[in-house]
Amino acid sequence: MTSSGTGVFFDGLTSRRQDVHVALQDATLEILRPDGARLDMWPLGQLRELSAPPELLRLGHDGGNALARLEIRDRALAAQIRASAPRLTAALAEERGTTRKVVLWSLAAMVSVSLFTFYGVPALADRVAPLLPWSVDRHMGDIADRQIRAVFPTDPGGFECGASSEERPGREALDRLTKRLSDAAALPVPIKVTVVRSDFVNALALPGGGVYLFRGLLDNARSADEIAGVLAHEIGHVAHRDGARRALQAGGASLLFGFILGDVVGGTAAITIARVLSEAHYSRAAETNADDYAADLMKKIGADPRPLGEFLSRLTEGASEPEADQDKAGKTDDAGEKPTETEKRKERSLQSWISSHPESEERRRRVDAVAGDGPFSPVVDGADFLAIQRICGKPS
Amino acid sequence: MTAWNADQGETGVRPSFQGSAGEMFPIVFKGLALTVLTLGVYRFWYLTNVRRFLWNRVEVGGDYLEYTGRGVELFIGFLIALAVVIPLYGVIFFLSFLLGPIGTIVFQNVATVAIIFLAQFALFRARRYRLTRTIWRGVRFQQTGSGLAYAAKSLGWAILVILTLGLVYPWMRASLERYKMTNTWYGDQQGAFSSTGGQLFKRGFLLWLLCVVVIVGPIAVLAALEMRTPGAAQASPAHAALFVLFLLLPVVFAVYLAIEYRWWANGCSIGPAAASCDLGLFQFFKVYAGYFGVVLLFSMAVGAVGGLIAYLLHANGVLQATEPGPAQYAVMAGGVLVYFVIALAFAALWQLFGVRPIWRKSFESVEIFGLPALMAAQSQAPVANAFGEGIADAIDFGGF
Repeated sequence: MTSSGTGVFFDGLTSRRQDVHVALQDATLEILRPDGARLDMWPLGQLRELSAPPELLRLGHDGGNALARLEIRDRALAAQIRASAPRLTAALAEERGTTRKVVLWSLAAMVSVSLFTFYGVPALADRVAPLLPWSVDRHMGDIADRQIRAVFPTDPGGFECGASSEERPGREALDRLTKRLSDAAALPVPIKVTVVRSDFVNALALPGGGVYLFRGLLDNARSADEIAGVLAHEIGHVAHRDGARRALQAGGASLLFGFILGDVVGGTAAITIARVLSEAHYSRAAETNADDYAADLMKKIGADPRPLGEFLSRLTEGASEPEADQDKAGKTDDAGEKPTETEKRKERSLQSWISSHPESEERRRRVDAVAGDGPFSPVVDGADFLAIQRICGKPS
Repeated sequence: MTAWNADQGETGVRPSFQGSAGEMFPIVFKGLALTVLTLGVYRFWYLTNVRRFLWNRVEVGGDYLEYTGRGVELFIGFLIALAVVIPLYGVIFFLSFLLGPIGTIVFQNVATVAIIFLAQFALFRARRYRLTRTIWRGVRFQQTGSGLAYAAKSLGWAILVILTLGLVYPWMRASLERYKMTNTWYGDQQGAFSSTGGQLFKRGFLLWLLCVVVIVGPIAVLAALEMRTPGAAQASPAHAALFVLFLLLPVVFAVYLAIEYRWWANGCSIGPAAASCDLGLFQFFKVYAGYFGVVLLFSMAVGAVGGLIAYLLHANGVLQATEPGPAQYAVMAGGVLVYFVIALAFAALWQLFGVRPIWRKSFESVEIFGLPALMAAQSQAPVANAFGEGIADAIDFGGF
């Protein structure tokens, strides 16, 4: 079998373009100068097809100069070479095989990473958080406290209520209430309650013992037991180390996804979505656990846990207050934006599912179930309740 | 007169690029689809395929370029970059956690400088990767020089640019391009860069002035009105229409890019071969305008389809369910997927109608003179491959 045609040869040493005559012998490809002198001889088994524009066949060959090229535009000759060189496309095929492996194993890896992010990271955070020294929680809490005080918009009169002489009785009454709860809780860190001068209906726990009560929440309370219930719930977050846990979990998840996704389009958005989803799933459990803790703590001091559930239901039902008691322990970076976030909650569909709190009716039933029916006594007397409600001055 | 200049009377060689959007579409579509499915891992192979398309269809003097890079090389480069960047990221995260608020601000600035330095280093190394994977007529391009030196140079210039409010920017460009081009080789032929910062300054100065007028002008006019009669600016919205001038900025920017490219290409030479560029001022702007039009059409189509789907979902009550369930999970997952697909569609359109035409114009606006002399010079020195390509293949994975 012999066929021949023309081609262009580059020797790979110089950039000289040589028009050549190509002869296809039994097992070799001969590259001949127009005068008949042989420039090179490539065994067919060593020919490799290289990437090229569609109108030409670009050949290299193993074992010689890696840059030597033979380009063939003669379609008939190209077809002949394709038919007779056995390993022509081996390199290309190998590359395709590698690519296929990459695609398949990336898919598998993504499934593993997703599963690990949703189940493994939270489980690990659960195990690791209790092992951390409490000083870590307190350090995180201090940083968060400073940030919130710097950025959170409050009403005129200072961030914290209870300092002036008019407000002092409220502060003392709240301290009595706090002391009863914290004595019963007996945590390794002191509980420090701060009343924030803001009509935002909320409470939140910082890691390491800090608790914020917003004035709006106190205004809406009908009894000291309701306030005590919320406080007990927040102490539950502190006791369960939810702040540290959330930090570990969020850090772990964004680390995993961030590094693997790298700089692909929308990578950051995917990380955020993954985090929101896994956090929502996770914080519902944290809220339920804090509710259980609150109910137990209230029972321990002989107080009625049920007002917590009632308070939650009332706040959720209230048309003027779309959703309340959004305590996000340790999640401080978005504290400044929370009021608008609360407004958005009026639309209840997907967002309500993403929001971290379980349905308040469900929470109420759960708290009621734990409460049982024992003889309960109010946690503080009526005078103290009135004082607490006026901790930020006269109700506006 | 026997004095004879090789450049005179010689006709230049104009490269051409033959790659239509239709031919590029399957590469981009398949690449982006797999990139979505693998959450980004495939992007190195995708990029390689796009480069093969772009390189392989550039024809210079009758012969096509060849791109010999491989996806796996880029992937390894990425892993190396990760190995360097992850500890750095960890240190930044840890230190910003430990330091107080003021310390954090100072530290963040230091970190920014470090990141700029690394980015410049990476850019230089990536250029080296692309050059060493480019072959024309069986001879490889090469880049010498040190990435660290280049990064240090860039950083020094960047500081100067900031200190002089951008005045020395043209000289920075000239200096950096000179460094890059004198370290560029085609076989044993060294590159050079002859354009100067002064030339770029002269050509760009008018545009810079125009920018100042467009940005500062309306503000100054409004401020003057406000001074004379307080409240005037708010009273008549017509004055605010002056800000429509801001729309000129993208045009100015695109024109500047064309000017800068022309300045750059005119200064480039390798051995005895020099480039001469006649790119029209509005050539790049045309590309951007075309891309903008395509994106607008695409967005309208997506908006219509998306609206229809949302309406159907709403009508079927899927969006109204508040309890978490399989339907909600499906909607969420679908939403994430749609987000990715749309983001990647924009990327695909950019490849097809942004990158490809710019690539084409970049080559076709250039005429190369002295190519035969380059061929002769190259041929006279048979020890052409002064740089062992095996070593380049083995150690250089700089193409992140």
